[in-house]
Amino acid sequence: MTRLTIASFSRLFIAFAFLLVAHSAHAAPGDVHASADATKVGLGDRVKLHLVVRTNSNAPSDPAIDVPSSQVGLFDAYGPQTSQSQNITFVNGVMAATSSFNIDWTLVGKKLGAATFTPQVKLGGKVVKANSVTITFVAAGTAPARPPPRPQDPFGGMFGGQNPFGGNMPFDPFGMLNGQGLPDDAQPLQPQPTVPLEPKLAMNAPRGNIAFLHAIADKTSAVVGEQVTYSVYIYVDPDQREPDFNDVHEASASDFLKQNLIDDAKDNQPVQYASVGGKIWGAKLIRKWALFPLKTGLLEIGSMRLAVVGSRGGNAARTSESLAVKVDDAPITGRPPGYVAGSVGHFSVVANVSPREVEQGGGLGVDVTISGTGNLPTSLTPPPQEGVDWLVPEVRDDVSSQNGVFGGSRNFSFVVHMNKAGAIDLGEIAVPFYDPATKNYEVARAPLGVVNVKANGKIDAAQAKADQPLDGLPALKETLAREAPRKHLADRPIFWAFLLFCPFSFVLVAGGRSAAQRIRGSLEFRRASPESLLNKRIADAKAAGKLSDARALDAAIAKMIEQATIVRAGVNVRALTIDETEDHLAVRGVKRETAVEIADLLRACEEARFLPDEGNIEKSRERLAGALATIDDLGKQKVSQTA
Amino acid sequence: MISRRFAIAAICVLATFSCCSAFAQEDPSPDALAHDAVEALRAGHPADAIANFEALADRGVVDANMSFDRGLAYAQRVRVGGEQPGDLGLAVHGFEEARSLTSDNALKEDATKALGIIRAEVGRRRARAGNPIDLEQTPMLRDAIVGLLSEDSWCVLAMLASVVSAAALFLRWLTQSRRAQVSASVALAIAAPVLLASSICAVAARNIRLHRVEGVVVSASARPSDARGIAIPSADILPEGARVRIMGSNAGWSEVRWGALDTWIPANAVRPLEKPPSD
Repeated sequence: MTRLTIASFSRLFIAFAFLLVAHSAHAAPGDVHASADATKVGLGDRVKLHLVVRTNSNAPSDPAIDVPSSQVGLFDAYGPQTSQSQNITFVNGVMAATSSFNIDWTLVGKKLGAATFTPQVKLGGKVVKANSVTITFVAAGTAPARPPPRPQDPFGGMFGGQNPFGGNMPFDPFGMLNGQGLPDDAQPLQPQPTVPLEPKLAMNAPRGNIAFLHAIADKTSAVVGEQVTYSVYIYVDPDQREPDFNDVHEASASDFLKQNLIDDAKDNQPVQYASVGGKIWGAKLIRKWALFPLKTGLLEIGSMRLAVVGSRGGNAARTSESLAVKVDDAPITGRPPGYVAGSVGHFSVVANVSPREVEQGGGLGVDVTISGTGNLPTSLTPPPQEGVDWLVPEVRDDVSSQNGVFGGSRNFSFVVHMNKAGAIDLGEIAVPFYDPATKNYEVARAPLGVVNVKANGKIDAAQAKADQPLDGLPALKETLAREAPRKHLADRPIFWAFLLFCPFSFVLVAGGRSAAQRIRGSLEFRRASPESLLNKRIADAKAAGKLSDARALDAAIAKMIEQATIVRAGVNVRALTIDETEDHLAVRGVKRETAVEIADLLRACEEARFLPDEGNIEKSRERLAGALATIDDLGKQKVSQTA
Repeated sequence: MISRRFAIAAICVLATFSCCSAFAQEDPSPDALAHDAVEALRAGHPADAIANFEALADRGVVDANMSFDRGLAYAQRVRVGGEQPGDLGLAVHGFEEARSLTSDNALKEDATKALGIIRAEVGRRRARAGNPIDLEQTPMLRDAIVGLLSEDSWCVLAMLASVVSAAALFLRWLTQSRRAQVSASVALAIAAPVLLASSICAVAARNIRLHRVEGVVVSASARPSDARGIAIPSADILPEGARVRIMGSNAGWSEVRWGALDTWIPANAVRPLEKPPSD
């Protein structure tokens, strides 16, 4: 056992000594050594490939990375960036200078796969290759979390200058031992400590490079006066250089009453960590407000804005999200009388009256303290009554934030003048409020009690009454009026119909009558055709034949014959003599015998009409029959109607 | 076993009933609120009365008597020395609303009397402060004409004019008498314009009743401003208790017309008047 322990100790000592030398020197003079920040990197993430060259003579040149050609497409390489340091030692009076050159490449994975990198430089004209480093590019978000590199801590003061993952270096940071030379019972490599992630700060993707702002409201709907907690976090990429911030513009929230829940000026909030797109970012709370909505509607909380000063000197603006909160009135159901919109929270009221005995006209003090959480009422309306004058109170606040909820106490100190003698009950202070936690209304009450006011006659009651304004107001009404809904004439269509109907009725009647007359005349005109007139004349003649007036019958016969010649022959015999009648009818094509008969009939009728006696009705009737036959015969003949 | 189950069920039913009853009691009925408000007003507790009257209004109860009493409550609070800013304007609002809502002449008279008392006090205060004491502006000519008669009066006048016009037309058309025709022509010449004018006024009155929103200034510091909310330098503060026409509102401001003055004031400085329900 002892022998094994000594051997183990010896190996351990050797390894430690070797480690010490390696840690202090990184590489022997003239040596090159390559390493990488990580051996597994997610696609799109950056990894640094370091090459350290120690030389005490020539400076290295032409740095390059040798990669198998099949692996070139797996990544993009940027750089190199070179920095130099020098170490000067004096040993026995002899100065020795050693230079270290740090050459860094930045690699970004493009495709999945493993690539082996062999950095090389030229030293004194000779190509010197370093050890190979294999880096595996895996899917984004699946690579192991990497601690932020200590030399490039971007949080600076936010971390207090310390590595947030602890100060212990890995046991074998460069892998030089490769697991060899260590005693069997040597301590294994310590695993990298993991950081607790805050789930509520996780995001699917970053809102900007290097750093960005993220705003959160604890609710999207509220009632007027209900606290909405607004927080702004700044997220910083741990892989980037520490950015500076300036040109800060606060978020606007003009529709809210704002109370700070943290001191914006003090930078003492702890840093938290969150997964953003699968990568760990640092997040720090920089603003936390209690916002109390002042009105209903969709109220907007604007964006906070600042500028990120980049590593190359340029400024990039970063803004937080603008948020909206839907604000409604507290529900009507159950709302107690005297509730003032905005009294939301949970309150209690305590009142103290001192002294309890005063002289008439004297004063006393009433202290009312409202305490609780939420939107404490900013004013208090004491119960007014005759003879009691409440002066404007002095208000003192003792409010703060407790566990993210705004509250505290507000004290109202009143001076009250008692102008009326007797035992005066001051009433009570009642503060109705809406509790959003229970979604119920409550009333915080504090009775003020009775005050004894001694009469001293200094105040004239009549004068006091006379000083009261608004004298002579009517008496109050005891009950609801409950008037029936009014009816209005103008709301009824029949009113408008009647209004228009009256004058338009004239238009309708007069216009209708005129139209009827026109229609009638038109019909009569159509009825009074020559043919119809002939028929009428024939009917009249027949009707006259039934009578005993021979003259009238002969006249009717004559008219009938005249119309018949017009209709059937186109000859108006009224314009002709009886002798001319025959010729004119014959010219029109009427048979001679018919024309003679017509002429004879006309002659006979004329002679009979102008006889001194009344004539012979029988002969007239015979003439009628003859005329009818002649007209009938005329109708059968084809006579030219035109001249 | 059965009786035990029955007892448990009965207890549950009673408990549910009492819970429901308790819940029902938490939200007072309008009648209860009105009763409490009137009692508080009678007892000289204007703050409690105001709280109950406003709770009644919040529940949508539109009643002429309650509006009148609400005005009295605000006035009483001023009387007893517990005046809050805007109490006089709110008192005017209550009385104006009572006058608009009611058809009872007695209530209208009481409201008018109360308005006179309140406005006199407002005028006194404005005079002491050096402000103009004009509390009412001359209405626009159109409104003055329409306001000569009530809406139904214009309707009745229009109906009469319509009948007379029709009768005159018929008479003139049918009669042969020269005197009758002249009389009919004269009647027509008078009735036709009256019909037209009264119809227009009836339409305008109806439009005012249905669409116009009026309110009362309930702040003693309602300074006229422009549409951007910037106070107009030379304008006098609108008198508390002034009856204005509300033209519109935007972002916490209301555009109002007071006489011939169109201006913007904060929305919480003017309270709209309820309209009487119509059938």
